[in-house]
Amino acid sequence: MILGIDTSGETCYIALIDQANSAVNCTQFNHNRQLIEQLPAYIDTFLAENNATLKDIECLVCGTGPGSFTGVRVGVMYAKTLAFALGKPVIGISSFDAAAYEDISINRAVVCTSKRNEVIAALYPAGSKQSLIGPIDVSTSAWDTWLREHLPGTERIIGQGIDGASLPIGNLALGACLLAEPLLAKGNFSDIDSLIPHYVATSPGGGM
Amino acid sequence: MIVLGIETSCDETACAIVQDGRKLLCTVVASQMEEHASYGGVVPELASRRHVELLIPVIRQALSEANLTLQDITAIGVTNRPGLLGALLVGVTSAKALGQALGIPVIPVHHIEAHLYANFITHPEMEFPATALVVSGGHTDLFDVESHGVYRLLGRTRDDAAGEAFDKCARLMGLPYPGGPSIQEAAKSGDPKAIAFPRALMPGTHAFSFSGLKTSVKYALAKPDCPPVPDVAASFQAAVVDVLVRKTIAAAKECGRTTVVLAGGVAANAALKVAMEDACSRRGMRCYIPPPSLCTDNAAMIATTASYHFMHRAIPGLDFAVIPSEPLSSHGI
Repeated sequence: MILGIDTSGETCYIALIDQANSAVNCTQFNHNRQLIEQLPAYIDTFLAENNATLKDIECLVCGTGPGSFTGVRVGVMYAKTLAFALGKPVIGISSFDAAAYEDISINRAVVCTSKRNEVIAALYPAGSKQSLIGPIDVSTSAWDTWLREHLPGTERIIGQGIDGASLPIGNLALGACLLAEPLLAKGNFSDIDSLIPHYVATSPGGGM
Repeated sequence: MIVLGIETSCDETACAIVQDGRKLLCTVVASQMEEHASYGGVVPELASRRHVELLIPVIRQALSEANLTLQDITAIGVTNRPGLLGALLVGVTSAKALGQALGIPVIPVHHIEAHLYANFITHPEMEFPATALVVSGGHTDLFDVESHGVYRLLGRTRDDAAGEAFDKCARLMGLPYPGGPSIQEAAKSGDPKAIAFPRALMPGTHAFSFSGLKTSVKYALAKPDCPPVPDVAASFQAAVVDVLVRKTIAAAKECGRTTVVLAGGVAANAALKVAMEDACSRRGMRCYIPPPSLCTDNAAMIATTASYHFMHRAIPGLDFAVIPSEPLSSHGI
């Protein structure tokens, strides 16, 4: 079984893929800034509902952002410590790639709000699991030009509008698990120690 | 009973393993100090990022040094208060995941209580009641400790913590961050009586104040006839030590205690240790100070405190929160 979590936004997404039984289950909850208080119990309950325990997990998958610094940090640290303690591999997947994976048949933009007058954005051409450009900071005033220049004919914006509006988004943990499956099959895991959140803004300390 | 402690409340990523409460099996501290030094203080976001990278390697190293596996661990202790929110979150998240994966309890620990408990590792004979001074970059707190878990705050600093005064005055003197070790080093060749810096004794209270001292250092340095930096450093250090010792002894006498306990990063200062031990011995009081490595932030003190809680208190669930600011109060073990 593969257990995935994504905590890059206000919603915590959890997914479980049971490859042996071709079963997929997902859940989500709004953590209301109490993520670390609630996450362990949600995981326990979710696993129990699916007749599983942590011992059944073969691989941990986590969204690495970009998103809320604190939120992503909790998800990444939680997943990599579970992997360390269970002696199982962990795979980190970009939360943007996971969001874009919902429908790869069209041109997509994934957007999340960042600093004032800026968004973090990535563009995904139809048929591609990987971004053509981004995630990078884009000024909201230059948005139309930037989009037209890099991916004309973008049919869908996922995540947030450049005005900060919430737009439909799928279960990010499920997207991450589906993207991780081929990597798991190839044994292409993340290194537990070097798995870190994807920070778009550089640290006040200068480095990433 | 083997307890693994995790500490990430500020800029040290630390893990330690303690057996049966007082026997230290290993302690590992990965300090980010040099990285923060170029900014003259701790940068919270940078500290949080480094904890994410360092914590698991540090835990792995601790297990390796103690020649144990995770399966040997009875319980996890972790600092959940007070400290930098983002930094605390990394340790708490990891501790909860460990506890959940291993099916063992996770015990939230108050950082200041843990500083006091550091003394039990090197002074197993130590017992409460005591008068306790926790003195660091973030705290200058004087407590009356009646017994395990029964704390009465007598007074604290009204402005800068003592360690903060060391950092700020070191900067004024052109000495590197962190100020504690660099002022101590500079003071070695200085005359502590060169400048009679003011002692804010705050009569009638157990409160402290160090901001006036900082201003005096600034003015002294601006004078054309200011003595050399080692003299300023030695005189500054003498003023801080004098206040800390006099107020701690006064509190112990008032509370009728014969044991004095020091803890926190500033307790690593050699001049403070000598002066406090001397003052206590002249009055027939016992004085306990951890070795410098257990004064500064470490996880051994977290593991030891968690061991006491594990033995004497109800074990909380995994839903406990991270609390950036909370004074140490009695919980009655």
